[in-house]
Amino acid sequence: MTYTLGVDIGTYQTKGVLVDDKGRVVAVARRDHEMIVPRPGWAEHRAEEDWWGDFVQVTRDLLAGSGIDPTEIACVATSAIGPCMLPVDGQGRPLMNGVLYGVDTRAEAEITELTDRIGEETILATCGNALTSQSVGPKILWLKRNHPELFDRTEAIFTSTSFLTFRLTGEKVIDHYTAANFSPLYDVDRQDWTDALASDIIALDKLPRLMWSSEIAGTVTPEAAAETGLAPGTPVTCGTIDAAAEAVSVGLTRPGDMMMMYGSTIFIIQAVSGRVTDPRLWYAPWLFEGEHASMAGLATSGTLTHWFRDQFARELPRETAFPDLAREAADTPAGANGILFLPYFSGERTPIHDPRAKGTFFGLNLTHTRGDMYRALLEGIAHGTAHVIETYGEIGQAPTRVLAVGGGTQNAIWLQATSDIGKVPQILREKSIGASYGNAFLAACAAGLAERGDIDRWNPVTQQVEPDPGAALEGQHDLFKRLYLQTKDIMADLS
Amino acid sequence: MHSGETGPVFIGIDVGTSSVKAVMGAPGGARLDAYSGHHDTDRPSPGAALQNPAAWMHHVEAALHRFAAHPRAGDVVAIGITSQVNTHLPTDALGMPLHPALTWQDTRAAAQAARLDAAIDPDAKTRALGAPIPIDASHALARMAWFAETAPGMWSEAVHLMLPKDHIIARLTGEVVTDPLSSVGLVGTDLRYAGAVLALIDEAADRLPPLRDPLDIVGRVRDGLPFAGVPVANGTMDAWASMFGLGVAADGEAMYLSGTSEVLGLISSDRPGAPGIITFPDWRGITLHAGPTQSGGASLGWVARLLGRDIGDLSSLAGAAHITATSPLFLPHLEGERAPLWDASSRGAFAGLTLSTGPAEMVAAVMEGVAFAARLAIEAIEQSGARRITALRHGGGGARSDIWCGIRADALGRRLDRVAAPEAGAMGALVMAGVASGEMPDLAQAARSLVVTDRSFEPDPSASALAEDRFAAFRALYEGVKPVTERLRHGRRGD
Repeated sequence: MTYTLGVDIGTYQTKGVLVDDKGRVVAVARRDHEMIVPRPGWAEHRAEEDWWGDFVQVTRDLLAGSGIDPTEIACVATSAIGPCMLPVDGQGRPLMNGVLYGVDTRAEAEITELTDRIGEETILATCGNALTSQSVGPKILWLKRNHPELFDRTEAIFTSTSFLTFRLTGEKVIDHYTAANFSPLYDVDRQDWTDALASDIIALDKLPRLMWSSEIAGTVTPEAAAETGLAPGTPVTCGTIDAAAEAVSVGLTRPGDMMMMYGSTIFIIQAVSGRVTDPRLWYAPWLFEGEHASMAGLATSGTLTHWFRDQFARELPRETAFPDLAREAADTPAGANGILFLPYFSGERTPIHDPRAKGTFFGLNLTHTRGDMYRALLEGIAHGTAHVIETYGEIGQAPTRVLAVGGGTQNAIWLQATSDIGKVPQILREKSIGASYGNAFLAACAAGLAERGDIDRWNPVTQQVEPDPGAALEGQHDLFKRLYLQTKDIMADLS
Repeated sequence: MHSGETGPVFIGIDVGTSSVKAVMGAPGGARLDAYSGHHDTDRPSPGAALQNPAAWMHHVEAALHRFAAHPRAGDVVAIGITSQVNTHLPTDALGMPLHPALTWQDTRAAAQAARLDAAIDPDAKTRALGAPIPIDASHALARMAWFAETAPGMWSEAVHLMLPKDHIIARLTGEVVTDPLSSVGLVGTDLRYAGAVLALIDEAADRLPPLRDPLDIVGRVRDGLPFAGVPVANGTMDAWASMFGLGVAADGEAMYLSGTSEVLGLISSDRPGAPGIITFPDWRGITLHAGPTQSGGASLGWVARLLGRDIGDLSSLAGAAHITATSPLFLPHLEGERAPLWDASSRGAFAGLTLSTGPAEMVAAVMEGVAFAARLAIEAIEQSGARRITALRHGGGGARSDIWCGIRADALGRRLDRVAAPEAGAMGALVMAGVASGEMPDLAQAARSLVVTDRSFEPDPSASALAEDRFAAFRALYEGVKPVTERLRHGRRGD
């Protein structure tokens, strides 16, 4: 029998799966770690312990749990939170904790400075994305400015998967999808590093070699084999960011496919046929050469259900609070008895990109119940999501197939409201293991054990949610957008 | 402990919308005893809001029995009555009810009202009443037409159409009287029945009780009841009585009465008027400019229910919040708004919510939003009376919370002098009894002697400076959501 190994490093948990060549899960292992917040706005992981240490432990657990011969593993693929900024020395040893993705906002000053200096339009034209806290370039500049002693010893900047791949194979690589977040150092049209926009950040030879996630980066070294229990010489792909691997796991295959991830936020990846230049959407080359992806995200989504529970459902037992609230919301008809909800509790990202937007319950009367308000909240998130779907439609990239995934898909009202208001069917698949399963599939593709289309057999479609044309929400979506426009200046003043 | 004291003692009785309240008091502000009893409103069909007059009388007798046991019962020299108005009951010649009372909330006579309103020339009506007062579903003539159409048999037997206070006086004394200030929409500026309006209904003039001055002694308590032989003062409607009960009786003085909803009123002999404010006819040199708002304790009860908290715990919760420039805003239009906006279709909004908004912030926002609604009315009554308020007296059940009073003082940017006795209407009836009995020379002196304040709330300079900006945002929020409200309503009409 032949197997592949997929491992994903999340913000709080590492998860690994061992999968056979038919996509059947043989073993699953997990390990928790913490997100380190040394000061407000900073977010870090310890590369050695949290990334490599977790990988080693999870791999050992999978091998021990399944009892398989390590030589039967045809390929290993990883994904992780990203992009991260980890400076390493000549031996690939971390010089500090890994600086995490957009949750780390330490480089605000550098973002402003670089944007002012280069110009937002030039950055968008070359890099496909404006500079945000997600961008790695400003974080490297932050390192250079604030820790010159570390910067002087820096021989390479790694993202999280670069570090894992280096420890496994000795290769310094990064995938294009992740590299597109290294603005302003990555040119999306040339698909190569660039110092044309800013030559003072770092020498380009200190950035990892660019590859596609579907490619083999190298093989497991004897040292890595000794640590992990893997067989020396096992092929390893170059890895990618977790959301991309998750999209692979639910079958994002051809242009028009849209992954809709129902997590603490709604995150969307859509396969597109070429570069997308709309400033409201993010762009990156996809995991396979010649393919493209356009991304979008709400600022906060699933987190709002927790906020609501904490405010309005204190008396419900914690373990049954969400099902109880769902029942109450189910007693309310679509339209939430006239309540409109703006979900902008952390500002909003796509499509309005307004950090000063705020949350609003509107249309309240004395008879409204908790169920009405919870239903309004779920519908409000769905309105925000529909607004994103519309944005894709406006640039001629309306999704042809929506693949729903994530814990929020278990909330039937939320899921249905998204189809009703977004006017799209949604496909759900059998397995919701997540990015680690997508990695196992990517590893199988890289090893020649599977073809792209095989994901339909690996992870078959089990449910399709159809939009209900009778749901009386048509007019409400326009009012949702109108409510935002009518109150946005007032909300900006409350910032 | 009172047995050694001497001097006159008075009783005031208020038949309110949800309870009967009575107080027994004496000069110097001594509140010797008090009674409160709840009665229900029946809502058997849409628009119907009925009360049983026997329930009112039950509580009145219970209060008198209670007071009769007080050591100073023998010193009671007069009893005054006030009540809700635009609440009507048909009675026989002795004042015994022939039908449950239709309260001011009962809207079933809307069609009759519209017909009557259309039947009189608007200019002629304004000339007759001194103001363009609409004949609405709660107008006495609309009620007469409704009874005639829906209960012709009963109505043909009815001799009088009475207000609750008229009914109580009839039951206590056997006398059938009413007063001109309570007879809203029926009397002219000369405080006599307006013949041109009464002519709209045959026999209307015969069925309305004769008008007597509010400070007249109209009879004595009949034998068989406690306090038999004690004089009973006519009194007047609750809004006027509450004003005296808050110690407001002279030009420049104003009231802020907080109950389920709130009433703002200013005495000013100037009467240019203002949109949305009711300017009453001049009576004994007192011109009242008043505006009832729709929000108040009801908003607090609503948020307590949703947050799963006891309403009594809300003040300490709000006290833990500090209102800042980024705090959420609450538009308290849960049942639309009355003065000065008169926008029945407006709805409530919680705006400016973030993930760090908790129950304390929400409760503080509700308290502030109710105060801002009152501030709109306060600014309008000052415009209507063309003068600044020199003293603002605060009372009613909603004034008991020190925290809320503090938030109000900041939100209004004005000092609030809170009256000690919470039952403002009953205190006002007591003040009027004091004057009617001849023991007190006039209302101003009676109010000064019988009504005491227990605490003043000064606005905090920095908090009230902040409130200027937040009040501007509150107004902008209302204006901003207005077009959405209108479309929300139109959208639902087609459902």
